[in-house]
Amino acid sequence: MKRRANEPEKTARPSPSAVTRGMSGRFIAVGAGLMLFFCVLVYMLYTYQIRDTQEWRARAEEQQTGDETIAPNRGNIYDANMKLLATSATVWTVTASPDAIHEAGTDVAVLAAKLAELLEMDAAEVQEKLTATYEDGTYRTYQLIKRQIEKPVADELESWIEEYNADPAHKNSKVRGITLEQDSKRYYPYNNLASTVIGYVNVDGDGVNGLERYYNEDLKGTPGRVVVPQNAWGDELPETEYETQYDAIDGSSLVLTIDQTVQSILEKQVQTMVELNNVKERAVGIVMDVKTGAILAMTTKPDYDLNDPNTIVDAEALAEISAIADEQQRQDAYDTELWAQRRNKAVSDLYYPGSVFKIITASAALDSGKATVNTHFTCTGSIEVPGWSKPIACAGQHVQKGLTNLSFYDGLNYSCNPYFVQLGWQMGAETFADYLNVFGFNERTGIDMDDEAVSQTYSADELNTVQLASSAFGQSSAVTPIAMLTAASAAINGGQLVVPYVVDKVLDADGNVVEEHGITVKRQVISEETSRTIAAMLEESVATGHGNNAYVAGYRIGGKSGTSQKDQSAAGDDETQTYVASFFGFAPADDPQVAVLILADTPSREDGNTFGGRICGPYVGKVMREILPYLGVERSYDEGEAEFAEITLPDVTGELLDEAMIQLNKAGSFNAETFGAGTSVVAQYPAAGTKLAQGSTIMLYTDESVAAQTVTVPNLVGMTYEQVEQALAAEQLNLLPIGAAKDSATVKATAQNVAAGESVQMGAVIEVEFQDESLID
Amino acid sequence: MPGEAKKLQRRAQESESVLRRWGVRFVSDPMDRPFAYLVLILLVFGLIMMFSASYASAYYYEGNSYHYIERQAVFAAIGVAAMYFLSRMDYHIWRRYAWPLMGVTLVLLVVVLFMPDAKGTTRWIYIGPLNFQPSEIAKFAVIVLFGHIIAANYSRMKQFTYGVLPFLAVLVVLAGLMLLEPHLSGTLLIFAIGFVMMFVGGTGIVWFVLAAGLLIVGVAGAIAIKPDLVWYATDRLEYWIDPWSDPLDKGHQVIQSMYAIGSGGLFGLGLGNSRQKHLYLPEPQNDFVFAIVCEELGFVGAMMVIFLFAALLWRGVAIARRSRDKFGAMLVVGIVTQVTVQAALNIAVVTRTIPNTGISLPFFSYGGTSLMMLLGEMGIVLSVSRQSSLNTT
Repeated sequence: MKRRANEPEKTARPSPSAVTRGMSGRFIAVGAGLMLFFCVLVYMLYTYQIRDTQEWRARAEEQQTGDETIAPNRGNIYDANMKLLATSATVWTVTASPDAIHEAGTDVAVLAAKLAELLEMDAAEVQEKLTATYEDGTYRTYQLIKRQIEKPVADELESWIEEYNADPAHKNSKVRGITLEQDSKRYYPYNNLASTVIGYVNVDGDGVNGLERYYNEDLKGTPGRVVVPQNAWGDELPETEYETQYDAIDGSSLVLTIDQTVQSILEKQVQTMVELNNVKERAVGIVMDVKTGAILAMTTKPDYDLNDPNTIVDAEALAEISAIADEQQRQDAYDTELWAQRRNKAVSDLYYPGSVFKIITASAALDSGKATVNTHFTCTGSIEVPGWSKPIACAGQHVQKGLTNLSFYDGLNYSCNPYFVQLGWQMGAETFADYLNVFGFNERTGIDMDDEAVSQTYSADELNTVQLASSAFGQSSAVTPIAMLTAASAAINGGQLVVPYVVDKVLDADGNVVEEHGITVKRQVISEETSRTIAAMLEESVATGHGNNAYVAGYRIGGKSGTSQKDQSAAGDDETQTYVASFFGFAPADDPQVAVLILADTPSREDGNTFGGRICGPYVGKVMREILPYLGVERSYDEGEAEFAEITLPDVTGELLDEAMIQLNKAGSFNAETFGAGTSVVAQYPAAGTKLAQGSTIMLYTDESVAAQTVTVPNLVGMTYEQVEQALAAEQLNLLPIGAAKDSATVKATAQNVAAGESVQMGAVIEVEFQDESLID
Repeated sequence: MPGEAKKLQRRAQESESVLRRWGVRFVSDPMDRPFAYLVLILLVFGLIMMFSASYASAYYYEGNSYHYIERQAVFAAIGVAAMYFLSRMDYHIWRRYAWPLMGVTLVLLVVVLFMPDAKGTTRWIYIGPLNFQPSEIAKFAVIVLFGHIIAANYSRMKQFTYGVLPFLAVLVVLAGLMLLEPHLSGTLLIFAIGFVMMFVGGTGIVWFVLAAGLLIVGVAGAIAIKPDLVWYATDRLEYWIDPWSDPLDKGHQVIQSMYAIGSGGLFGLGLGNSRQKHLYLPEPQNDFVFAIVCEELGFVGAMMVIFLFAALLWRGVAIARRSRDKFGAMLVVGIVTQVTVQAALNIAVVTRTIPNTGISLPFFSYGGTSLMMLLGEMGIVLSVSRQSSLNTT
């Protein structure tokens, strides 16, 4: 109000120093101009904050948030009895951001020295990583320092950084940009056990081969995520408002049909076979439940340590590779050798099955009705095959025995090639090819394993006189061991071709069964009756005939040996020829439960013996001998076998001498030797629980003052059965015979479980292996 | 008792007469409250935002989250005291020291050239723990001197010799010295203040048109003759057009600023919740503090800041128009122009409306001495308001 009154006064008498209208006007104009500029800025802000805010926010969030992956725990692999075959443990991966390290002014030399010390690396190499730059000279933001460090090391590194940064002296040179990412590492408690079956996992946590790869998706699980706000140095911000977590789903576990005990037995025997027979190439062993197709054990030798999968085991091969001058070629050769080492040859590689294949030919001939058990063919040592330059020779020894008119059983038992050539021709290409098909040789078995190869056989059109002849005795079809085993199993299990499988159950992280495998019958390939006939013939062959080396007293084992030439061309030189020896066995023959196939590629014994019955047969027998009791198959001895029956020795210590004798006689017909002047037994040898053959001698001590009697074990190798019996009896030792134990000029002791010259107690049981050296396929 | 009172009164008069000899006179008329409130609101708002923007980098680089705010708060307190003192002091004293002030400024501008290098420039004078930019003083010296000249020669401002020549001479000398630092943004700001004061002071419009032409020729010439003199300016121009051509270095700050502004949206992430300040946006407490304001308080917060500066301008215009005399009015014009232009240019840089020049945001950016000077200048505006016809309401 007052101001209004003043104004007219001012305009009426303007002072020379007063603010003029022009001045005001011009200032208002400047103000207006500035306001206009502010309007432009408001528009700019509108474009950023309202129009394009989503886009800007997304771009900002991309840099502001750390997307941490929560690695799911990989599932375990268990054997059939839930023994742990593969498991994962948490480890850490150390990474660095050279950019953040540089920004923070971290003392790189100190950090590099500490990392090198903790991670067992070269300090100069670490320093190089910590200061790595892009091509334009700016510092990199991500460098991998080391993977898979264990928890104690990770903890030590973390606490060191914390302490270092807390020191006021390092206020301006704090350690930044070092990140520990959680990761997992795979452990295989049994190292080499079933290595080519199980396979291993690479540093990214993916299965590389074997079950680890085939079941990778199940085992791996689904990774979770945590989205956390972080600062430009990658440190997590304390605010949790924006943190979002998506939980990881842990991987499923596998329960295998493989039984660690059976697997160990098989591996031990196959390994011994490889060593004693100087097997140059692969050796394969498979144990399968013939009714369901469940694989109880599967091995290939040489194998490798799953905890150290990148080392070449074969020293010879490694030396050869190391000698390659060119680095690239050397690396390639190394990789090739590694892959060969890891390959599961039981599933992925082919071989000529040789005479084992005669099981299939025989089954086809009987089942098709093209032949009967009474079908006879003549063989006088060899047969001319039209179109083939050389006559096909007979390996069997029936000619020496004056047997030339062979029955069906004789053909199979003596593994007479001319017999099977004629049997094949009689069947005809169509029928033979049909049975190749139904036995599954033109498809994969469907086993749940990686890289299964398809067997290669001739089709009906391709099976001319020559091919039909050679295919009939197993020299022309290249098959995988698993295909051979499932087909042969079908021939003796009642005629059912089943799908073999390794994984019994898939369990989720909580242990619930999410998937269960079991028997899958592909088809009935031959009649039950034919199958029974074949099984019976093969049992007879092991018990008394050419399969005798696989014999196990008390068990009804059937089997067929095979020896094939690797070079099957007509020009194949006999001098340089190499062989694949194999043996297929099953038990019990009257109601088959398990089948074993053992294969040795290129056995190179000093004596030149390459026959499957000799190389592989005994080991199939030994595997049977150990696994059948484990699998609960009862022994039953027939009359002829009574002397081989193993009897468990009772405990007679503390008993009066005569009472002890009565007990021993009750258990079996044991002999007793007494030492000392006492009236009651104070000690016995062998100890109670020992398994002994009938007629063994037991040492009974009646006086504690009498020292245990010891004797020296004689060398038994090379002796006949009778000679062995006498040699051991002379030393008051007991014999436990293994294999083709019978008194015959061709049966010789090949090994003894206690070395000659060693001192043992009187009454000790010496296991002696016998083999019939004369048996050929 | 009456005798005692008389004695005290006389003593006061005596001391006042000593001050009066130096040109100091106190005014107790009421000041313009809206302007004072705006200044205090801006100051508090600015301090809060500077603290919020700075604490992460203060923690990581200085080891203390309060590193910046502690210093800034001390200077703010001193500044508020200075503001009140200067508001009570009759502003005409500045007319008396207009030329000496300019003389001191020129000396400081020479001295600064011998100061230690920082990022390739010498803009700071260090005295013990304190440091300041002589260019800040130069702005004030220009405002005072131009106000004085305009007040004296107002009737002859249309003439070249009175309306252009003295101003131009001062500006050219200052610009010459400042470009040696080099300090292009400060030079441009001084030219802006100078031109606005000349314009409001009545210089003929024709001269501005001519000056605009000469400026263009001059800048072009300078770049052509001595490109390294303004290397950082041309550099900045390049990365203004395409900051993504060097996203990790030259374009880095602007890109990070845009991320901050854009992710604020309409209402922002909330006070204290900026994520860009966590070492993404370099020196968030300095020139780019406005980006953090935008991120935390959103479009709404940004509008508040702009509104406050616009309001300050409006109130400045009101004070200038009603000033007791032309010198007072011109002081207000210069000071208010300085603050508003600086704010406008800062926001323009932060929003990538113009190239990055290195202009701080008054009241918001970190810088103790400059905040103190700013508050002192606000005191002078308030001093002018005390004698204006506004206070009669």
